[in-house]
Parts: sequence; structure tokens; C-alpha cells
Amino acid sequence: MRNNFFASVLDKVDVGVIVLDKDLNIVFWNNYLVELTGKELAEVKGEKLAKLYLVFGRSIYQKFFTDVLEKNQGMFCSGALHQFFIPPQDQSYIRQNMQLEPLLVGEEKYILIQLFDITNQDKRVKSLKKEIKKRKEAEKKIRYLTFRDSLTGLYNRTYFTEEFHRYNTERQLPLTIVIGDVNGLKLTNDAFGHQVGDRLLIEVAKIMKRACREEDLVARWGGDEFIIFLPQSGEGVAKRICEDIKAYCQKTELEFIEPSISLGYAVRESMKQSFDEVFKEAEDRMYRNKLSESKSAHSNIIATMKHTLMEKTYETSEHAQRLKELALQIGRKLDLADYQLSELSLLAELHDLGKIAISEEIIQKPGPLSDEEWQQIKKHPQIGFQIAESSSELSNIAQGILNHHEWWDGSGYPRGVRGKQIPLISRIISVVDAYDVMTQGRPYQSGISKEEALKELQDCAGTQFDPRIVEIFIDLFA
Amino acid sequence: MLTKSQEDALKEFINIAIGDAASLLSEMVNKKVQLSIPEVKLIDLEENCGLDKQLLPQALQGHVVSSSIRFGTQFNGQAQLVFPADKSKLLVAMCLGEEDIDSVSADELTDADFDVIREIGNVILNAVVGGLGNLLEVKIEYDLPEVNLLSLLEIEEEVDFAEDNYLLIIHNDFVVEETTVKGSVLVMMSIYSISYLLNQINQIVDDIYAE
Repeated sequence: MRNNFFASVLDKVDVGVIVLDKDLNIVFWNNYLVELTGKELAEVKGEKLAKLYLVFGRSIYQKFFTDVLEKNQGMFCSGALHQFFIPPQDQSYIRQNMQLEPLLVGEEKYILIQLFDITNQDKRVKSLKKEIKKRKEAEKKIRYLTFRDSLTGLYNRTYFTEEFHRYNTERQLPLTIVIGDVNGLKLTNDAFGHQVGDRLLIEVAKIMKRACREEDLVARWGGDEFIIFLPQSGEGVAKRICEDIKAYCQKTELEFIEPSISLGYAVRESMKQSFDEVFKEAEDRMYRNKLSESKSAHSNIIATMKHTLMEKTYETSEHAQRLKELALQIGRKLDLADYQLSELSLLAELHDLGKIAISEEIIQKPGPLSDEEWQQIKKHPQIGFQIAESSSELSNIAQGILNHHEWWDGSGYPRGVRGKQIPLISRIISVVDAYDVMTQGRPYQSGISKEEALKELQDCAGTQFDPRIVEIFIDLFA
Repeated sequence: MLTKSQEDALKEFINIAIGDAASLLSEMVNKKVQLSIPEVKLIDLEENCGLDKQLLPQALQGHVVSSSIRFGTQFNGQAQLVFPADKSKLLVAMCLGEEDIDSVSADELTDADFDVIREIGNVILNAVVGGLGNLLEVKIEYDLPEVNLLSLLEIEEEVDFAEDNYLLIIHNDFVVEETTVKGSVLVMMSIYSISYLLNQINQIVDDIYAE
């Protein structure tokens, strides 16, 4: 029953199926062959295939049969080379492909032959050029997406890891590795927003590309890290390229920031030096350079921030100067240490640092603010705190910035802390800033008299202001 | 990773195996077909971080037509015969005995052309893999070949993503009458087979020096 079932299935297929036993006798052939040759299965069963069709007696086919039986090797024979294997009964023109495969049933080994009529095979022509062009384009796109950093267009780490082995050969020696790290990226992101940070990275990438030669590999290694391979180049080339990068940085200005990148390089002179060793050396040198350079890069960025802040808030350098002087006088009266006085002076300048991240329309709006706008404004101590935290030069006044709008009675913002929980320098700035704003006025509002201002301070002592500081202030200036 | 004498021994051995393929092909196409092996290389893919294109013959640095078979059991992996795409039509024309080979357009391949390439690949790959199987004294099961148009990048990817750790590169010159087409056979093998293979190669080396 089972045999009949499969035989009926095979009789339906549009492929010639022949099964030979290990002596090359026909065991089975399907209806396709009955129709092709006019010979029933019963007539051919047990006959040698090579006796019925002499072509199979040729040594190549005998070898194929042996290979199938002894080595399990299948074989594909094309009509293009062999024309046909089993001719039709009317001797008409035909072309066949043939496939030979081993067939194991239980312990017995057989040969499965399949014949495919390709006489009317469509003359499907593949245009290689077109096909290759299409593939090349697709590949290029995929390659680009996989191997490029989408922001800077430089090669990315994946590419680098993939292509690394090309540079790991004797032929490329001496090979110089340059590691670069952008200074102040986090500070820039925090202070001026990610768009400016991104532009900084793009600018740095352009500079590196420009400074390097055609054969050099420049890749973005990670967030603010870049790597350059200079094949067949030693210290001389590396030094020149690093100097060029620095020089290009100095000539570039981006939102008042001068891009700054710390570099370190190391040369692989022989294959005996491991790649990791050389990489590590370049990295160490970069970090050493970064220690000194990032400081100046940061002061550069801070100078820019002060400048931007003044432009944005209409604060003048005179205002800053007055605040500084007033605050320092209070500080001295309180016997503050020198370091506290310098913090106080820095805070006088930068307490509103967070305002550089708030839109100009809100900050410069002449009339009263809407609730929403007010909520925006109230974020500036927090933003300023974050910016200051990411710079070692400013981190000591970060708390001062965060708390300069807190009230003595706890009803200030952003956190509503009270009394001595508010850092002393914040409490001082809070008083002197209020006084200066009241007496100097705003572009859209004229100031009040010194007496009125002092009275106002006194009225708010114990609620908004630290009463002791108000007292000292009045002592000093009344 | 092979010494010069190991390389020579393996080359010799594959030359013999491929000699059978050449006589089969000669008989099939009714013309003298010579297959020669100018170079054999065995590469540890892990050590080399993948396939270095420089190890392939210059002729294969673009798109290729590949005919590949998988094989398995104790010795398993994948073997492929690759020819430069622009030379594959010439190869087919040589085998089909087309008169004016010089005027053959390299650009267009028909299904019948692909069939011929499939068959040539079948004969050569069976010879190489069968030969290696003999050397390793293991039984192998084979698939019938598949033919594809591939870029070298795709081949590299295949090699990179394969679980096999070793790649045998056999440079293969295919000569029919006066014309030569340069191709390669790439055999990817697992780590399992390699030490035994090296052992057997050493045996051949010893035999040669004993003579």
C-alpha cells in the first residue's frame, strides 16, 4: 500500500525518476519515462540501464555511478554539455539535465536519477553587468550604513574592527596609531545643547580628515574618541599630522568655541610589538596630554559661556563686576577663607549659567511671563548645576548655582530647601543680586533708590533672605 | 600555517585528485582540459581575523560566479569553486566548444550557462572534497552544487560567519586548448578535521623524504 502510494505520487511528477540498484539495474521508473519512451516499468524493470541506453555505458557515466555508490558523491549533468540522456520515442529534439544522487533504503544503496526536460527552457538571460551594478549599489549602501558613523560620516568602530587585519601585516610597518579625544564635549552638550555638541564632533571629524592623507584610516571610535591609522609612517608623519590637526582646530570657530582635541600617538615598528601594546601606549599619551589640554579647553568653553550668557540675559559686565564687589565685601566681613572668596566671585559671574540653555524669547521677554514660561525659567538653577558639574573648573560652585533661588524660609526653587541647608555663597549672591537688580533696574524697568532697596531687603529678611546677611549688607552699605 | 614541504605535499595530493576531474571534464567536453594547482594555502581564520582578500588570486578581486557544495558527517564544511564573473562566460564557451571565443560577450549568462558552471563545479569540488575525504579516511555526504553570482564581500561574509575555523585556498588554473581561466577552490573546514589532516599531510611528507 505504502509503495503504491509513493509510486503514484512519483508517477504524477513532471520529472523523470529512475532508481537503479547497486548493479545498475532498473528498479523503478516513473510514468514520466513511460510517456517519454513508450516503455512500461514492467518491461524495463531488472534490465541494465546501460543495455537499454548505450550512452550510459560511457566511462564517464560509469564513473559517476561508481562515485554515487562508493563515495556518496552526487552529480549534476547539464543538457548544455550532454544534450540528452534518454531520448523520446519519436526521436524528436530534446535537451535534458540529469541529476544523480545516492539513495539509501535500509541497508541497501541505490542510485536516484532525475531527468529534467530543458528543451523549452526559457532562454532567460541574465545581464551580468546590470546584475552586478545593481548589487554593487545595494552593497555600497549597506556597507555605508554598517561601516560609517552616521553623524560624522567617518568609518565607525565596526569597520575598524573588520578592517583591522589589513593593517596587522608587516607590509604596513611602521604603523602609527593616533588616538584623539575631543575636549569638553559633555560640557558643550550640557551648556549649548546636543546640536552644538554634534556640530563640534562633525567639525573635529572634518579637521581630522583634512589633516590626514588619502591612505590613512580615520574612524570614530566612540562618543568623543577618534582613532587614526597611519600605514607605513613613523613618528615624523604622525607629528606633522597631529600639528596640522591642532592648527586647523585653532583656525576653526564654532558658536564661539574653538574645537579642541587631545592627541596621543605610538608607532609600531615591528610585528613583535603587539597591537594592543601600541594602542595602549598611544592612549596613555593622549590621556597625559588631555590632563593639561582639557583645562585650557574648558576655560575656553567657560569664557564662551560667560560671553553667551551676557548676550542672552542682557546682563552687563558691569553688573557682574558690581555683584562680585558687593559679594566679596560681605564675604570678607564673614571672614571667609580665600578659596571661598574665589568661589563667591565665580558664582557672582556664573550663578545664572543655566539660562544659556533657555530660549532667548523667554529670557528677554519684556512683559510678565506666562505660567509655562515661568516654569522654563525656574529650570535654570538645575541646568546650571549640571553644566557646572561636568567641568572640573566649575564643579565647586555647582551647589551654589543650584541653590541661588532658594529662600531662607524654604519657599524658593528648585527644591525648597531652607535656612543653613542653602550654601552660604548662594545666600550671599541671593541678597546682592536682588539689591543690584532693584537699584539698577532692567532694560524695560527703571531702578528704585538705594534706600528703597535696602528697605525691601530688610522686609524680606527671614523670608527670602538670610537675616544675618541682610544685616551685614545694611551695616556695610546703609 | 603550513610549512613549505607540507604545502608542497598537499599541493601534490590535490593535483592528483584534480587530475581525475580534468580527465572527466576532458571526456565530457571532448577536448583536452587541464587543471593545475599553482598554489595551496591553509589559513587559520581566527588567527587571521577572517579572509584576507590578498590571499586570493588577483583575478578574483571583484564579482565571482560561485558553485558551492556543502558536505558533512565526520568531515564537514563547505567547498566552493569561484571564477571571476567576467571570465565565466568564456569558461562556458570554451567547454561548449564555441568557435569564436574572442567574440564571446562576457556580459550575459543564460540558465544553460549556469548549468554548465554547476556541472564543472560539481566535478572539481567532488574531486577535491572526495580527495580530502580519502586523505582523512572518512565517509562524506554531499549536496549537489548551487550556483550563484556573488561579490567578494559576500564570500568574505560567508567565511566570516561560518562556524568553520579553517580555510583551504586552492588556486586553480583551468586550461582548455590555449585559453586559461584562473579560479579558486575555497574549502571551509571545522577544527575537528584539521589536526588529522595535518597528520596525514605529514605522513605524505615523510613518505616523500623516505623515498
